[in-house]
Amino acid sequence: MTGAASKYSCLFLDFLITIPPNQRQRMLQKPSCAFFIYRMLPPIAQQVTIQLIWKGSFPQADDVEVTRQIEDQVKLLEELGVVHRQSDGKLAIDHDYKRSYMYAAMLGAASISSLVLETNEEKRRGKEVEKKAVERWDCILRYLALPSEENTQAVSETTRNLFKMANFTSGDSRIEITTSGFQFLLLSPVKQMWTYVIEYLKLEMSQGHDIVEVIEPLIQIVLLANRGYKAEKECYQIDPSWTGPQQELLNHLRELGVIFIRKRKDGVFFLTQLLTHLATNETIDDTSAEKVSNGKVIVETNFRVYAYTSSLLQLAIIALFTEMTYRFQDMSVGMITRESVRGALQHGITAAQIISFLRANAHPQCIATSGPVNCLPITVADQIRLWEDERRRMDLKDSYIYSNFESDEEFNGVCDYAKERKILLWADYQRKLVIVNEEGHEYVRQWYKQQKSKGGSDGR
Amino acid sequence: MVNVKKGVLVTSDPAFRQLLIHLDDSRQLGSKFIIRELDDTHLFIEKEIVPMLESKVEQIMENMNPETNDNK
Repeated sequence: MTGAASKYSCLFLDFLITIPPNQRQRMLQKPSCAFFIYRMLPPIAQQVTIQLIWKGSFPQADDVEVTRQIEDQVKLLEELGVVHRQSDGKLAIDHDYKRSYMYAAMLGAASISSLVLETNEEKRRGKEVEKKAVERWDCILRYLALPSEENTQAVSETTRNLFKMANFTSGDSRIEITTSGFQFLLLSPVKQMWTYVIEYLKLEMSQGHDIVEVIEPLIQIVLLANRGYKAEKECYQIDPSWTGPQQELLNHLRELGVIFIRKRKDGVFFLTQLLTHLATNETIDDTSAEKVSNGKVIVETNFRVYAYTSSLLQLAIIALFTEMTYRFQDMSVGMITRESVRGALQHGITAAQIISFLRANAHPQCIATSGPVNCLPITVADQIRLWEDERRRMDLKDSYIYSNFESDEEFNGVCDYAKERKILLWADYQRKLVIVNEEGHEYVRQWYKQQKSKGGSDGR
Repeated sequence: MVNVKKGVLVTSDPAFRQLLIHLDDSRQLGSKFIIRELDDTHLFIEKEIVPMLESKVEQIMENMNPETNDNK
């Protein structure tokens, strides 16, 4: 699944959890990486980290709800290897992480990177950086949305491979977009970019390359966004000593439009506005992205959709869940129908994705009159959700049922244990039935083993 | 001795549960598939039947939708 199913709603952190511990430890030793990880953490985890670094402990909350939230985030920190639980149960910050974080914090975000700044003397080198950056990114999306000969040639071989490996496209000669590809198109730009970058890192890892070598320059470039950029005026030197994979990373970022290189032999790259997408914490992105939208879509309460755009890409995405009726030079009309939405749902697109897409791309006038949420009429949003719900009349879960308990104690024991482990799906106290989820079966077996060894003589 | 059985827990609204029980009683899917009727909103069924059940349900729901019938 892309984006939406992310465990901690941050793709970067999710990815970090999956890489081997020894490589992750090497990342924690790099000041830039340590600093960037801190940036991407959710607010409570940031607090915990800071308190642990400076005080060596953090205060307990009185509220049960808040305590649970803190525990969740501490778990995240443990998984990241930033925090370790010692044998006495106390939490301690990782030494490497502490050192590199302090180092980075003293220097400031922009100065940690070793990239060399250069003022651009030649106008020619950085001409129309912004415009070209956006064009590049559109090319990639267009390739996914409208597979055709022309669009295929506009993206590089590596990107094509990447999408294939990420299971966004399928088929060899004639490319077809898959469910996850569709979902990718509906994501916000921040999520799209991160998904792309993460898929790229996964690809590198699967080829056995050293991941830290690639992540470090990536993070350094992203952190440069902090320094602010003067488009067309400032650029950074490309270090000729960079290794093959690192150069390859630059190529990818260039393809994404995050950095701009006019010609390789210039030896410099420019930062573009798209870089801010990678520098934002995506957890807070969703609402802020809507505010700055320059969308072109009007949805009426009668389910008519007007798209004031000539962009084939936008139209293709809208056509995923709309029945297009008229197409004019700069405006297209469509209807959101039960059939069209069901078609999209069958492709694996969710109602929430359609709704958030329509909201994010609402025409500024709709937002001005009805606000960022109601710019999509409530009736339409509700109906789309209802169409989804009617496909989901039943909820199926693989599970195990336990029956014929010998005693109340046995039943209560299993029941409480399952509750504690959060594996309990359903229980009936009268008939003594317990249902646990799929992975729960193993736990319950362990419980029985424990009971046996504990009271081996009590006759069970 | 305690009994364990693998299967699928179905959560649905009572009306839909009734439909499933009807499908089970009338053996429209070739055999019985409900292992246990739990409560108003839960059933425990065989895992093997799920794909068949899903397509059958889809078909039934489609037939009940007036809009699609109009188009035919």
